[in-house]
Amino acid sequence: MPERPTVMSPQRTGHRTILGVAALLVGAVLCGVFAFVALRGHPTRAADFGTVPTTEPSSSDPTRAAPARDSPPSWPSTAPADSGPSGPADPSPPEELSVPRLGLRAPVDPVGVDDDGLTEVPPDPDRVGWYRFSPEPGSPEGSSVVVGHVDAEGRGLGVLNGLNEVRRGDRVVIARRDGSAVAYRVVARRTVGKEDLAGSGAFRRGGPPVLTLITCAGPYLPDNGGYQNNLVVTAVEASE
Amino acid sequence: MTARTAGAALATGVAVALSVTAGAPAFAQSQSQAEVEQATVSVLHAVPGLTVDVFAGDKELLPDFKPGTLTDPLKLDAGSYDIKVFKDGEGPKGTPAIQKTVEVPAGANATLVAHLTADGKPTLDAFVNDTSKVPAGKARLTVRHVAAAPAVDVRAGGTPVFKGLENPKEAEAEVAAGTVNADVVLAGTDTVAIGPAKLDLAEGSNTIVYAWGSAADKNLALKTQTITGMHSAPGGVPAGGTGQAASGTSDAALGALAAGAVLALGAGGYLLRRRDDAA
Repeated sequence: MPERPTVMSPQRTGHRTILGVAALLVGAVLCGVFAFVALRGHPTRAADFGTVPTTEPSSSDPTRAAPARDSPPSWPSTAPADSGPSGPADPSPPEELSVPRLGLRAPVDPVGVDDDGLTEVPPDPDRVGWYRFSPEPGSPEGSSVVVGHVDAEGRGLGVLNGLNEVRRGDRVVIARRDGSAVAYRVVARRTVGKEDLAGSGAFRRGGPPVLTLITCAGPYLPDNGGYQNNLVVTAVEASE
Repeated sequence: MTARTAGAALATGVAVALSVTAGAPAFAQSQSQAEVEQATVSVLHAVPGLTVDVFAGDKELLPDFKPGTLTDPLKLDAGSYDIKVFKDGEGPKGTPAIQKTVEVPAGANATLVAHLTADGKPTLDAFVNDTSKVPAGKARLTVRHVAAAPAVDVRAGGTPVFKGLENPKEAEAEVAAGTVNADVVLAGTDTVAIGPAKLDLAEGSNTIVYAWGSAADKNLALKTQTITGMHSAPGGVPAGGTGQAASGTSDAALGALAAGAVLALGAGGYLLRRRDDAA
């Protein structure tokens, strides 16, 4: 008696049902994700949030180093040899940036200013740069600035592209060369026009200590200098 | 790089004229402002071998002021000050070693320097300190020749930065922030007069270097004054490249998602249909 090929054992039929339902579910989920991603459109990403602590004292006044005293004048007779400020309280430079929830991790290089007066950015988008004229992370005041490419020619997306997924309260950790670490939590994300970044307070040297992560944000206009905005994520030191 | 005469500095900062103004500041009450405006003044003693008492009128400001000492910056009411410098213990009735009336203009940041002229006589000059913004990544370097010495060149890393600087002139430049190895040579020669010395030129600051002392007495030296807080933010952060990140999720990823969805739905439908057939 020839076996009918379409007859299957109940077990196998059950497997098929499960597989079929599973496949449909996967398909449905993928459709959902597709719709979500596609409809959310680009370059609009998750919205900005939070407010940035920016109460910089009147440090733009270079004469503030002088303590205000009442007249008539009485000069101190034997001042220290040099009237420069004392160095930072904690001078160990940063070595690694990480955002554990996002699995984001990048080595940190000190960077300066290029010939055009712009911040240098490490060419390797898997590395980030600490603007070495900003306070070291862990300093008592000011904005410690870390920059990184969002993408780079021939190298794909940069590690700081992950900042698009950052959420309020995310933990950010800066490991320092001396083996210690400074922990932060994200309080704000802003999309700032390229022209407005310098005046945005991201580079303030005084005021509350914050970590400021900067990369690029769309829209991308190839004929108009590329990215039009910077993505600026601000984190405050976490009390741990 | 600009070289400016002390005369220019004085014109904008401190009018020098021997006068009889008493110690009480003559408040500069401009037409529109009744409030007393202030200036920031530091004092440098750059006359070797002479401990002094400094008076404003009859009031002693700096007792036992020793050579090579720079005071902290001090907020002073704008106005006119009759400055007398006496050899330690000889004031205020004796004959001052130096006497000048200085006008302290509102808002200025100035350093009053008691020093030697090129031919070795004690004098007093006021220099206005440049506190304008410094471009990001740069440091301002100011050099002032207040020594009893001929014209000099100031070199950084062996290369002349300022040439032919004479007492009591100054020169300034904006240079890359960082540490430089500086020395002072007789103008146009390689004859080192002072140094070398390491200078830490901090970003956004004005490092003012005084060449002081006396060549004849072989006590030429450098004195450094630093004024901070003139930093600027960099012009921007060019952190983008190809535009890939701006395309939201890349088209390739979207395509893969769509293909995956179609594939999974197809497979599910096929599997379930075959089960129906079998039943």
